[in-house]
Amino acid sequence: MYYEGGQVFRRINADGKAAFDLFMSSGLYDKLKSKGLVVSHEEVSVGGDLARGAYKVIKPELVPFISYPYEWSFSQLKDAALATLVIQKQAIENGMVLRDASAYNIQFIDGQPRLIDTLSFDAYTAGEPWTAYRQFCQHFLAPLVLMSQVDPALLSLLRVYIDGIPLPLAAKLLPLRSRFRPGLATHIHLHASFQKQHEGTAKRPAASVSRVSLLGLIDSLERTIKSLKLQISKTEWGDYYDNTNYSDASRDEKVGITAEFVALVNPARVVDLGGNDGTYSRVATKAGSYVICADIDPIAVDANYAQVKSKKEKNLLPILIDLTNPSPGMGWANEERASFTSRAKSDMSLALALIHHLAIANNLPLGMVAAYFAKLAPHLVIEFVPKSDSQVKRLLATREDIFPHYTVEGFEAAFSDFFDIVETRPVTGSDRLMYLMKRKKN
Amino acid sequence: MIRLVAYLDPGTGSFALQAVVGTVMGVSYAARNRIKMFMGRFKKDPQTDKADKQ
Repeated sequence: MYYEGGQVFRRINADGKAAFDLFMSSGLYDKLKSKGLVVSHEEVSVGGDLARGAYKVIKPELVPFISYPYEWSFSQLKDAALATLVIQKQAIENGMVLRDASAYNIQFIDGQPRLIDTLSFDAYTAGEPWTAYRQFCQHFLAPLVLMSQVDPALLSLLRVYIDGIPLPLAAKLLPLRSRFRPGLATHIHLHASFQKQHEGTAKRPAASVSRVSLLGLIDSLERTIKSLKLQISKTEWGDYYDNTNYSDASRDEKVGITAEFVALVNPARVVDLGGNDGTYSRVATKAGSYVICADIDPIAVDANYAQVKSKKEKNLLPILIDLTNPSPGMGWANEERASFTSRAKSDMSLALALIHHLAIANNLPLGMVAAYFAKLAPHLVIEFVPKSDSQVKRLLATREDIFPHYTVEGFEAAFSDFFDIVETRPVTGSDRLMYLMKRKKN
Repeated sequence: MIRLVAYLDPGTGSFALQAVVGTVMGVSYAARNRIKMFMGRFKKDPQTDKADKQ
């Protein structure tokens, strides 16, 4: 992959010619594209050093926002896993196989998981085992099982293990009852055991797996994954909008103010920070913006994604982000996977009912919060939640109030170092204030 | 001979497991598909049913 003139290209070298030609001529590309399972591309003739010597150069469809599996909710990771298996089944039908099954090959586009690595296929050879089986189990099955059987927070292990959770580790962390489920017993426990038995083996493997056996393996993985469900249904913020401290009229007014501010700026892309289930993200999508809705709560993100699916929304991507510890740059030289901060730069950010969590619950100085928000977008819609609000009183109920600067004046002074205040609106029925701010030019 | 993909280490254990469980899974998969096809013959075609009622 390379960038030139602000566009993304993919070069296909001589050693990729046979596989690419088969991918196109077998009808696999057309089948996957018709099902919305692969990014589309066009073949282009380009010059330049980076294209020299290539068999072909293709220009793939752009991904509006790159997200990573450690930023997905349970259902997003599950759907990405199932999509990979559907792609593999279709590939086998067309005489090909997926040569790798990395979760990083899937991106969410138009609300759906889609394969972005069109060079991921090889010709199917009868009798060959699936080389990507272990990778699939490490990238998809192990984290899903751990989230389902132990705790959703274990998704974060994907930030430590960039090539998926090692199966021996997953096997150790799983409860005993997982050994009595045939799918988990086979693909996690037995798999881990076979890995251990054969580690250090220098001999080339002699295994032979028939086509039906391979399809049976895929089918087993599919049924295992479909059977996994999140056990924990209640989290701190999962049902936030059922339990707010303002009236329906106040909420409607807040929606109206947000819509008015969004209309003033008309942003192409918005990042909704602490967006929970996407209630206010949808104000921006209704206005035509593409919205990245980032929240710390796995249930809220899952609920948001469920809505994206059911309403077939194409311009909203829910992701799991802890703003006090957002995804860093990772991999070799911290450059293989870009940080959330660098990817999330947008035309506008929304920070509604958020500031008190950062400044009070997480002790962040207002100036530092303002500096970070100024990095993300030139326009900001932010809601100041004062100490008189019951949500802030709850945060201060069991601790000393060490926040003398957490006042309207202190908030405006801190943010005015980075932003000009364009508009201010009170939210009727509360002491909250909504602001539209524009980043200063310096 | 198994062709080895250059950049991905598939793991010898992984290959061995597929060889061991693959047959069982393949038989199970084929059997379930047969049953599905067999049961499908007994499901009424909604088009035919509607035509019959008219």
